Amino acid sequence: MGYWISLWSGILTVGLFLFAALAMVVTLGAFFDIRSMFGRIRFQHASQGGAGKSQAPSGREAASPNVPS
Amino acid sequence: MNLETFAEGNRFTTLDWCIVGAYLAGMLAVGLHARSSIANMGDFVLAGRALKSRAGVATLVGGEMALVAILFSAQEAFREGFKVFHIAVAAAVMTLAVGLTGFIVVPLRRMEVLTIPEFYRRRFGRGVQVLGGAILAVTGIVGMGMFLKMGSFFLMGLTGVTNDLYVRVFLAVLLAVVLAYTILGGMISVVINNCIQFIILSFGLVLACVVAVRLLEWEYIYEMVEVHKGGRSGFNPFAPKAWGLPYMAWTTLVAIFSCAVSQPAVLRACATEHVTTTKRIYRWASIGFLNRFLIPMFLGICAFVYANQDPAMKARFLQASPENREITLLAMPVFLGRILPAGIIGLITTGLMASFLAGYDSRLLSWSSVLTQDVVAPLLPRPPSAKARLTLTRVFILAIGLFLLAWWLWYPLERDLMDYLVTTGAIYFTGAFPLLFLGIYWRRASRAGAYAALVCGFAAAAGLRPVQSALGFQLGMEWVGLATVALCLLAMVIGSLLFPSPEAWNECVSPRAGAASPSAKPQAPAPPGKE
Repeated sequence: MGYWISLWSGILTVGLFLFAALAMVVTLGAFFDIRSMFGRIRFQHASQGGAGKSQAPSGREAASPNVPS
Repeated sequence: MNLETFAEGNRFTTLDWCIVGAYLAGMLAVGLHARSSIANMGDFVLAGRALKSRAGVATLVGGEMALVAILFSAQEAFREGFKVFHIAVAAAVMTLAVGLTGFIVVPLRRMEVLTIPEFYRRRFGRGVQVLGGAILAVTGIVGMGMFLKMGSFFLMGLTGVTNDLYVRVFLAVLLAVVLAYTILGGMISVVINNCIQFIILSFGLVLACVVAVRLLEWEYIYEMVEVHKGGRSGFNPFAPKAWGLPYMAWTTLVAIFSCAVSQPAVLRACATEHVTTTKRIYRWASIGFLNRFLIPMFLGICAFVYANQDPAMKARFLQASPENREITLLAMPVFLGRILPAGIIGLITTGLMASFLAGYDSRLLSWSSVLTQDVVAPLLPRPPSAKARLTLTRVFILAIGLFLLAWWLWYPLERDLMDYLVTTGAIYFTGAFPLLFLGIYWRRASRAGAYAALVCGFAAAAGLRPVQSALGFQLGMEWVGLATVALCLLAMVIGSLLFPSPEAWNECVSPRAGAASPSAKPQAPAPPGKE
């Protein structure tokens, strides 16, 4: 049983440390990623000639037979 | 049950309510802001395929760290002890394996599908798309039927509010908020909510673990589990009285399903800016998939140890009758409500509330987009316009929300919540897995095989106890699940060999297909200076 206690204690401790580290990376980076996401979407709309206003389909959506072009 | 006693010793204060209120108001603002960025289904369902790594990790882990999963994980550990940790390890290993190999998710991302049934159409034809889409949406919506019930458990346990009317009104407000921001901002709102949830919950839950260990101490926790959970079988999943290999094989398969076959997870995989981002997100998310189980399970064990010290909790949770066993879902929230200081409870409640909303938002988005793209649109004589699809998807989100509210108010879902959730999920997963796995990796997979596999998935309903009673047998869900997966794979293979269909693999799945197709330049143009 000592083996299992050591195993679960080790996994829990390492898991918590890794999770805390991941949380810090995500906390620092998520804001920039979200800002970049908005910028990229706006750029896509602009490059499609104001699709934001005209509701034009984009990318694969336009190519798909399931979606009207 | 006497709910009034849950308020005893609770430390939830006005400050905590203010934190919760600010979060809900913030999410409405996010929805309003995101609305201006939505122009088409690609923006609404996949955030314009502009998802980067760190936000991607947050949304993938956050979406799976739903309140339902947290409460069930804590409950399992409360009942079974440390041996449930193997579920967390299986989830982490399988997610890492998907991240390293790109199993299923990378081909789907490369094909640029919006939904899983869209892959069915390209690979097997429109009929399979409609049937697969209907099964996916119906089982998904039915599976969500219990989420509000779980929300009421959580709210009562953590805040100490036990007045039924207040709980119902508050949950209705929560549902209204999630409907509003999902309808307005789609996947963009979902990503932002998941980031908030991930950040708050990750720090909050780690802090809760530290507080729990300082209060109870490691040695005492292990000692209590050893004494009360049958010695070795409280720790060793292979022990004679524990679960054994079939159960572990089933949980490992479920771990693969939840990260590679689940529509909400695939939604995130397909929303990334690049295939390499998809793989990176899964590799890093394996840490989150480990902890999405591990931390709630550990807190569930701590709640068990604490309940043994506390006469009121002991009477309520440890001496509950078998008919009232769902009460143990409340053990972890009640425990947190008693040990955490004011302010921290509000923070964790906000994180858990975000996880409650996360249980809805991406699923609402998934099922509504599947209903629009894969069930309604293919059946219409003329394909609807992009604007009509967007409107229809939003209407479906609202309709599903109202349906869930009505179901919660009128349908008494009292017992066997876990069976119910696992079975509805298994009906979809077991049928969909052969279509995705063999459809992507086996050239000879055919339409007839796909139909046969989807239909055989309904055999998973045999996991429900009323169905077993009616049929006169008794089997654990792991046996039913494994048998159904085997049956569906067999049906797919036999159906494909007996009724081969025209070659579609080269046209859609082959890595060369992308180079030949009009959508081969899959990456959206990058803003100047952003790459």
